[in-house]
Amino acid sequence: MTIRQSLSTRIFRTALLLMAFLLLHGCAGISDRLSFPAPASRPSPTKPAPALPAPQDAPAPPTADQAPEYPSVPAGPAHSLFLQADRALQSGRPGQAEILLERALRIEPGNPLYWYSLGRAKYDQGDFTQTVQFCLKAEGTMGRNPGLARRNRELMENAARQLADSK
Amino acid sequence: MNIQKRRLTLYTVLAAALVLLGLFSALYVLRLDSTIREKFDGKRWSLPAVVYARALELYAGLALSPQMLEDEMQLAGYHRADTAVGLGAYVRRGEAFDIVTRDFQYPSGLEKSDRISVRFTGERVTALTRTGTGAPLDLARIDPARIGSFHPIEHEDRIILGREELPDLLVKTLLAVEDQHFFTHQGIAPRSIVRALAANLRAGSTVQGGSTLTQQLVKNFFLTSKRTLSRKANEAIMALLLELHYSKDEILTAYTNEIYLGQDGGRAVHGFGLASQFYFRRNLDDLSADQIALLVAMIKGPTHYDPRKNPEGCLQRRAMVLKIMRERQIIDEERYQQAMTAPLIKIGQMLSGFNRFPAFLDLVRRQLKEDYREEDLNSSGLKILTTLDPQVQWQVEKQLSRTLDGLEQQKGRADLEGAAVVSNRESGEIVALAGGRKAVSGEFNRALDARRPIGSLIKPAVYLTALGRGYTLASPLDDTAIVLKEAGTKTWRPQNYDKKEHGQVPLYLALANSYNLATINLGLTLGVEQVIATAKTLGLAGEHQPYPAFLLGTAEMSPLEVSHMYQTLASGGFFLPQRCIDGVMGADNTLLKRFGLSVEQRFPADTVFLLNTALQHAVGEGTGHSLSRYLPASLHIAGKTGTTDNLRDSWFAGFTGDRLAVVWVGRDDNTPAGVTGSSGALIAWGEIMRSLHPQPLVLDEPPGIVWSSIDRRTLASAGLFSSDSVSLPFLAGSRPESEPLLPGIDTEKIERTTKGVFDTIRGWLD
Repeated sequence: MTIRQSLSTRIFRTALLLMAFLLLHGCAGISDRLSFPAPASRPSPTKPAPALPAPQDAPAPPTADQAPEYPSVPAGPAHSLFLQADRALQSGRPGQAEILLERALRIEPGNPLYWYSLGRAKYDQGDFTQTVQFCLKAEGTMGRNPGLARRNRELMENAARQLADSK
Repeated sequence: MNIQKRRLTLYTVLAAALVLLGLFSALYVLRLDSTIREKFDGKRWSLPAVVYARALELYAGLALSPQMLEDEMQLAGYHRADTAVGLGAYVRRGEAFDIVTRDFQYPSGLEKSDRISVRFTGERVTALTRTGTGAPLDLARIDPARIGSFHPIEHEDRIILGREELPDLLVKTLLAVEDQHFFTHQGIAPRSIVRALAANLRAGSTVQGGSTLTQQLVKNFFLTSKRTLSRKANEAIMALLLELHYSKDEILTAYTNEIYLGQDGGRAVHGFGLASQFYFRRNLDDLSADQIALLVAMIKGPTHYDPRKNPEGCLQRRAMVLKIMRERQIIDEERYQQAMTAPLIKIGQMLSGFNRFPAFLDLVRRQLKEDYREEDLNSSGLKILTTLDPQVQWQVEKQLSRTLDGLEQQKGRADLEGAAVVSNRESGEIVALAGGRKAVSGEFNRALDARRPIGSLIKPAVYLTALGRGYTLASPLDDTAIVLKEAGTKTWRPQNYDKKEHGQVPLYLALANSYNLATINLGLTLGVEQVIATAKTLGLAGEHQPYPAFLLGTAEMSPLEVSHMYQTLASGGFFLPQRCIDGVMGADNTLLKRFGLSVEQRFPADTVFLLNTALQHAVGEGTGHSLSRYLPASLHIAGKTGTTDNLRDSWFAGFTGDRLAVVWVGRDDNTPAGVTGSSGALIAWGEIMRSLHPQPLVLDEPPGIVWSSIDRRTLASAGLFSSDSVSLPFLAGSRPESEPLLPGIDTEKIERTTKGVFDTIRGWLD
C-alpha cells in the first residue's frame, strides 16, 4: 500500500514537472529559485503606504545647469518628502534634505532612490565616507532599476575618488 | 560747660552712630540690590531638559486604528472637544477626526499649526484632508508627546511664557484677586499692610496677607517662606528695589512664570503655562473663565486647594474668585453663571508629564551624558527629540508583563523578570524599551544593565564566519560528541539540548535546530578567535577570551547589546549605531546636535543573505517554530532562540520586515527560571510582534545568488524524484553538485578554505 502510494505520488510529481517544463520552455530568464523562503519580487515598503513606485530612473547628482526631472507620479507621503528633499538639495541645503530623506525612509525603508539621495546629501556636505556607504546600501535594495543603479555607481565612484584624493 | 561738652559728645556719638548705621544700611541695600539684579538679569530659572517621543506621521494608507490615534493624541496633551477650535483640540465622530495641530519646532524648522481631518476604515487611515476645504494632504504630523524631563534635585518644571502670551482674562483676574493696585504702587502697599495687620490682630491669627505681587515674587524668588520680621523687612526692601529697576510688565511676567501651582508626582508645577497644560491640556490662551479662576484660586495654597485632594475647598475658593471677576466686570453675569456650574477638572483630563517611560528615558539620559554635563541637562531647557514610538512602547510593556504573568501560572516558575528592546530594522532607531515587567521609575533597568550569558544567540556569529569562508547552507557539519580539556580546567563534554547526536547535518539545519555539537565542531575548525572577531564586527562589545565555551554563548550581554549585534544582521550586514535620540535643540529652538542615520557595511550582502535565510529556517522549522502560534508563517520571520545552563536565561532575538526585537526572560537572582528560549522569551516576542501587526520580511537578494533544491538526506542537488528537498540560496559557483554528499561525505569538499577540523578538535581531546 505504502509502496503504491509512493509510486503514484512520484508519477504525479513527474507529470507535473514535465508540464511545468513545457510551459516554461519558451520563457526567458527562469528563476533558479524554487521555494522557501520565496521572496516574490523586489522588497516592498516595510510600512504600509499608498502604492507609489519609485521613479524608474532617478536623477543624477544635480549640477548647476541640470535640474533633475521626475515622472509625474502622484506624490505619496514618502515621495512628497523626497521631492522636498530634492528641492532642498538643489537649493544647497543638504542638511535639510537629510532630515527629510530620513523621514521618507521611515515610511518606505526599501526604496533605493531615498538611500541614493541620502548619499547625495552626504556628498554635498563633504562626507564622502558616508556617501559611499549610503550608495552601497542603495545598491543592496536596488532590484531592477538600471538607470538609478548607474547613477548610484557614478556617485559612489565620485565619492571614492574624493576620498582617495584627500589621502 | 561740662553739660554742654557732654551734650556735644553725645551728639557726636549719636551722629557717628547714625552715619555708621546709614553706611551699613546702604551697604546692606546695595547687597540686596546686587542679589536682585544678578538673578533677574541672568538666567532666571533652571529649565529641565524636556524629552519628546517621535512625532506621529499621518498619511493615507497608514496602519493605525482610530483608538490608537486618540491614545496618541491624549498622550500628546490634546483635548477632545465638541468643536475643534483651539490649538491641540480634536473632535472624534466614530472613525472620523478633525484635529487642530499645534506649532512645533522640529530640527528642520517650525511647523505651523494645521487643521486636518483624518478618516479611517477599520485599522487603516484612508483619507487625510485639510479641514474645511477637503483638499487632500500627502502627510501631516501630530506634534510629539512630552514624555518626561530631566530635573535638578528640586524637580521644578515650568513652561516659560512672554508677556504677550498672557491672556487679558488671566491678568485682570490675577490682579483683581491678588493685587488691585499693582500698576500704581511702588512695590509695597502700606495701606494694604495696615488693613491686613488690623484684620489679623482682630482675628488673633494670620487671616489676610498684605503682600503685593512684587513682594510675593521676591519671596518666591529670593527668600524663604519663614514668617519672621527680618524676612518681611528684606521682602519690602527688595520689592522696592525690584520696582526701581524693572517695569511692571517684567515683574508681572516673572510672577506668572514663577508661581507654584501644584504637584505632579515628583515634579513641582510652576507657572501658569505649565499649570494650564497639566490641569486642562490646553494652552493658557485657550482657557475658559472657570479654568482661569481655578488657577488663580490655587495661588493661595496649591496643596490646600488642590482640585484632586480637596475638591470642595477648591470649588469654594474658585467661586470666590469668580465672584470677584463678576464684581470687577471682568466677566458678565451669563459667563459667571456658566462658570459657576462648570466641573473642576474632568476625570483623566490631567496630563502628567512625569517620566512615563522611565526605562527608555534612562537610555536617553545615558546617551546624552556622553555629550552634555549634568547641569546642562537639568537647567538649560534643552529639547530632546527621541525615537520612542508610544504605540510600540505601550504594547511592549503590556505584552511582556502579560506573558510573564502567564508563564508564572506553571508550577515552579516564580519571580520571573524580563526585558525587551524594539528597533526599526533599517534605521536602527530604538522605538521601545522595557527594563522589567513593571515600568517603574528608578527600578533596575534590565534592558541596559542585566548582563547575562546569551546562549545560542551567539551561534549566528559562528555560522556567519563559516559562510564567509566558503561554507554553504548545505555544507554537512559533524554533530557528534566531543570532549574538550584545556590546561588546568575540568573536562568539558558539551551536549545538545535533546542530549542526542545527530550525525552529519546540513549547516542551515544545525543553526535552525541550534545543535551545540555541530556548532562547537564548526567553531573549533574556524577558530574561536575568528568567531569572536565576527561577533565584534557585528557589534559585540568588550574583550572575550577564546575559550571553546564562547561558541555556546558564555559571553554576557544586556538585551540592548544583543539588539545592537543583531541590528547588523537585520540590516543586511550594515552596522547601524542604534539611536534613541533624533536631535537636541536649545531653549531658543536652535538645533544643537543631530543624531542622523549612518551606516557602515561590515559584511558582504550575499553572506548575510545566506545567514538570514538560515535564521528564517530557524523560525520556519527550527527551535523558533512555535512562533507560528502567534504569527503567520507568511511573515518569514528570521530569529534565534537562546537558553543558558539550567534554564537560567531565556532569549529570543528576531526581525520582521519592519522591526527587530530582543527579549530576555529570567530571574534577578540568576537562579533557574524554568523556561527555554522557546518556552519563555519567544512567547513574549510573539505576543509583542503580534500586537504590532508586523510587515513580512523580504530579504534583499544580492546579485549572484542562485537557488537550488537540495535533497535533505544526501545534501546533493535534488533530483526530479526527490521527496524530501529544501530550496536554499547559494553564492554563484557554490551550488552543490548532483552527487550525494551523504552518506560517505567527502570532508575535503566541506572544508574548502578551512583545514584540519579534526586536527583542531583532536587538540582539545583528552
